[in-house]
Amino acid sequence: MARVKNPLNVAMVGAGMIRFGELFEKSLEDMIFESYENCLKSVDKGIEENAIEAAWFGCCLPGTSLRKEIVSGATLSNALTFYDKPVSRVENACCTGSDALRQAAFAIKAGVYDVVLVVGAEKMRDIPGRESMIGQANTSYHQWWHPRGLTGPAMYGQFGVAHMAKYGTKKEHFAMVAVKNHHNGTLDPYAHFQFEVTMEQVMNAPMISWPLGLFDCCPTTDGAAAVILASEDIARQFTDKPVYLWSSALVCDDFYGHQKRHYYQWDTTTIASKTAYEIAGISPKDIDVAEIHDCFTCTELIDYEDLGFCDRGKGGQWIENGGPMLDGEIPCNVSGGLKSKGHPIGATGVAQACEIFWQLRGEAGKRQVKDPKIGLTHNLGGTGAVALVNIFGIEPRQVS
Amino acid sequence: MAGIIGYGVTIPKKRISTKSIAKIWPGGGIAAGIKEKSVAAEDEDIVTLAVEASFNALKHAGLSASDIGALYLGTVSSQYIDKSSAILIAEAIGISCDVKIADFGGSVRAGSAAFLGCAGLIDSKKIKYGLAIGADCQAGEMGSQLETAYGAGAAAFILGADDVIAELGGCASQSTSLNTTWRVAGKDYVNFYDDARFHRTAGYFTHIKQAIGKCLAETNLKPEDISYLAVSQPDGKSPVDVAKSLKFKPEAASFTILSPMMGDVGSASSLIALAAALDNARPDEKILVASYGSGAGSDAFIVTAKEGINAKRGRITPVQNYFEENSKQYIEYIQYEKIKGRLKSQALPEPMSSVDSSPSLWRDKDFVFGLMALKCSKCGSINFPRRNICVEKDCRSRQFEKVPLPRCGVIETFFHQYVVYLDPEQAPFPMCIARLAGKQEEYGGKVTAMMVDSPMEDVKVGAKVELVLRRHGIENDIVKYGYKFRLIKEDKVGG
Repeated sequence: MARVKNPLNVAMVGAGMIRFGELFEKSLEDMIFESYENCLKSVDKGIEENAIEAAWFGCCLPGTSLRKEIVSGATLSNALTFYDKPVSRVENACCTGSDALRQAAFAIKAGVYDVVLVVGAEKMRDIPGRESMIGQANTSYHQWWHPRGLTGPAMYGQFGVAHMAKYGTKKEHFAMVAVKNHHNGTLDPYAHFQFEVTMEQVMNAPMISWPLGLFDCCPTTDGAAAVILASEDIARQFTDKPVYLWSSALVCDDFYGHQKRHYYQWDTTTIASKTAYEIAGISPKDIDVAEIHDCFTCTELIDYEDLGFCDRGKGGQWIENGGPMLDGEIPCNVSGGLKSKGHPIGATGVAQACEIFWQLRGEAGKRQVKDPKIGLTHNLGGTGAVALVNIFGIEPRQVS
Repeated sequence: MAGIIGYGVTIPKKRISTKSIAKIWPGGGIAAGIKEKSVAAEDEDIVTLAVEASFNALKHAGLSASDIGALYLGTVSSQYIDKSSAILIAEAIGISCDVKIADFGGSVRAGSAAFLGCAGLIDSKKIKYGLAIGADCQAGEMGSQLETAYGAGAAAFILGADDVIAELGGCASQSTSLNTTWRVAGKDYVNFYDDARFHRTAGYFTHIKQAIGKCLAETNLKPEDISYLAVSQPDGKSPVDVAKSLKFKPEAASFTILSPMMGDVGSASSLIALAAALDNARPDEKILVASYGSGAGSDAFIVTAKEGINAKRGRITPVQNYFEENSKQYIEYIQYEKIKGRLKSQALPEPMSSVDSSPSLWRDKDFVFGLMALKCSKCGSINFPRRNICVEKDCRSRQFEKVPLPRCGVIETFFHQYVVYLDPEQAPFPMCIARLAGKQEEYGGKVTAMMVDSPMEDVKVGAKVELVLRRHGIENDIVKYGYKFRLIKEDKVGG
C-alpha cells in the first residue's frame, strides 16, 4: 500500500471557532464568517487576508439542509468574498472537517501553496432535527427494505450492544462517557451543552435507541470552525508557537451496516490510527490529549480500544479507572466532545483540530491538560465506514 | 385434467372482536355470525399476504419458484387501480419474469376466476405448473356492517396435471348485474345497498344455489356425494343456510365455515375454505367449491382428493392452526382505526425546503420581505442579500449601514424561462437581472427576479423596471411572498 512515509510537518498557525449551538439567528455564511474572523484574530503575529492562497471547505449535508446553496467551494467564496482563488469542497461523512484539513495539508506538503485556509461548517438546525439527521440515517441501508427506524443512534447503538455481549460492558460504562464529556463541556466556552449530568440522569433518561438514552447521544448542532495552515518554512512568520500536523490517515470501508465483519470494534479506526502512529513514529501511549469521535457514548468507549488507548474489551474498565479523564492517562474529549460540544458534521473535525491547537499551546483555560506535547483527533463516519486520524505535535517531527 | 399439486394460506395474526367494534358502534357493527375477524397490520397488505401464502404453497407442493409457468392473482384490495400487484408478488417470490402474469378483479369472485383461469392454462397444456392466488383485505365505512365483516387473508394453489393431490372437475357459473356492494374508483371503502335480506336472497343465495345446481348436474353428483362444502362466506350465517337448504350433509360444513373467526376475506374466502377441506379430505372425497362476488356472480366446481394427498400432509401449517390462541393477537378498535389510516398522526409533517424554512425566513425577514439591504460603509456598494464581508472584491469592509433596497432599476440582462418547477407561475415568463437605480458598483447593486405584467417582446436590456410584492406559491400551506420586476415607463419616487 502506497503511503506517505514521512511526517507531514504542516503547521497550524491559527485556529478559531464559534460557540456551537442551536443558532437559529445565524446562517451558514454567518457561521463561516465568524469562525474565519476568530481564526484571523488568533494568528499571533497577524496575517494579511490576501496571504491566503487557497481554501478547503468541509460541509457535508447540503442536499437536505441547505438546498439554497450550490454544492461547491463557491459557498465559502461567497461567505468570505474570497474571489479569484481556489476553494475545494470536501464531503466525507463525519470525517468531512478532518479530511478538509488533511487535503489542505497535502497541498502544502506538495509545495503548491504556503498558506491555506480550512473551514468546516454545518447548518443542522434550519430544518427540524427529525429531517436533518434522522432523515439522513436511512441512506446506509438498501433502499427498499431499509428498516424505517434505522437512525444514527440505532446504527451505532448496535455496536454498543455487541460490545456488551462480547465483553460484558455495561450501560453504566457508556453513561460514564456522558458524565465525563458533559463535565468537560462546562469548562469549554465553545460547547453547545455547558451543564453537568449525573449517572442517575444518564441512566434514567428517555430512551432513544436502546441501549442509548437521551444523554448518550450528541445533540443536533450548528457550528463552524476554521484553521490556517502554513508550510514549515514560513510558519514562524505568523507565530512562535505553531502546532504541526505530523500524520493523517484515512480509511474507508463498505457502508452498509449489515456488511461488517463484527460489531464490537471498528477496523477503520484501528487501521487509520495504526498508520498515523507509524508515520509519526509513536505509539498510542505517547498521546497526551485526544479529541475522539463520540457521536454516541458507546462510540467513544469502543474508540479507546480501536485507537489502542487500552486493550480490546477493556474500554469499560479503562474509563472506570479514570484513563480518559481530564487528569487521566490519555485525556479524551476535554472540549466536551461531540457529545457536549456538539457535532455540526462538517465543522466537527476542524473544531477538534482547534482544541488540539489550544491544548498543545497551553491556551485551553480551565480544561487545559498538563503540558501536552502530542495530540490526536479522530472521526468515525457512516457507522465505521470511514475513519480519520490526525496526529499533531508542538515540534516538527523527524523520524529516522 | 388439471389438479392441485399443493396449497398454502395465511391469515394475519391481528384480530379484532365484533364486541370491541360494538363498543364504539353499538348499532352499526353487526355482521351475522361473525365473532371476530382478522386484520392486516400496518405493514401487511394483499401483496405481503399473497407472498406468504405462495411460499407455503410451494413448500407444500415441493416445487420452487422457477417451476411456475403462470401467476394469476384475484383481489379487489390492490393498492393500485392501474399497476399490477401480481408482478410485485412474482418478483418477491422469484418467479421468472417471462411467465404469464395476470391480475383479476372486478368483484371478490376474482379468486375463483384466477383459480379457474390458471386451471385452463393447465388443461390447454400451455404450462406445467401455475400459481393461483386469492387475497383480500377490504375496508368498510366506519360503523358499517361491512367494517365488522371484512377480514384479511390469502390462499395460494399450485395447479398442474401430474401427481396431483386433488383433481378438478365440473365448473358452472351464474351471473347477474346487481347492486348489492360496490366500490367506485377514488373511494377507499365499499358501499352497499342497506338491505341485508335483499343482498342474501337476490345476490348470494340465488347465484350460489344456481351455480351449485348446475355444477352438480354437470357432474352427475348429488348433495350427499359431497363431503365438504367450500363456499364464499360474506358472513357467518349465509353459508350455513346454503348447506341446509341444498340438503348437504350437516358435517360437510363443519371444517370449512371459517368466517365466524376471520370475517369475510373476499377473494380468498372460498379458497381458504377449500384449503381447510383439503387439510381433512381423504382420497376420493369430494369438495364442492362455490365462490360469490358482488355484482353479482358465482363459480362452482368440484375438487376430488387423490391418493397423493396423504403424503404431503404435515408439510405446512393447517388452516385450523391459524385460529389457535397463539396464532392470534387481539387489538382494540382504536388501534384498528390507526391501522386503517383513519386515525392519523400529524407528528411528522411534510418536509419543508430549507429555502423557506422557518429559521431562515425569520433570520432574513427584513431583507427577504422588508427589502432592506446593506450599504457598505467603506465603498457604498449595495449588498443584497445581506452578507458579512463587502461583496466588492478588494473592499474587505465588514461595516455596513442597513438601508432600503432601491426598488427601481434598469435591465442588465434577461432571459425567457420555459421550464420551471414552481407553481403557480405559467411558463414561459421573462426574468431579469437589473442594476438598481443610481448604482454603479461591480459586484453589488443588482438583483435577479421573475417578471410580471411584462410582455416578452417589451423586455429589453436597458428597459426600466420596478420591484413589486407578489405571492410566490404555497408550501406546506404557508404562502411564500417575494418580489418580481415589472416594466415601467418612468422612474418612480423612492427608486
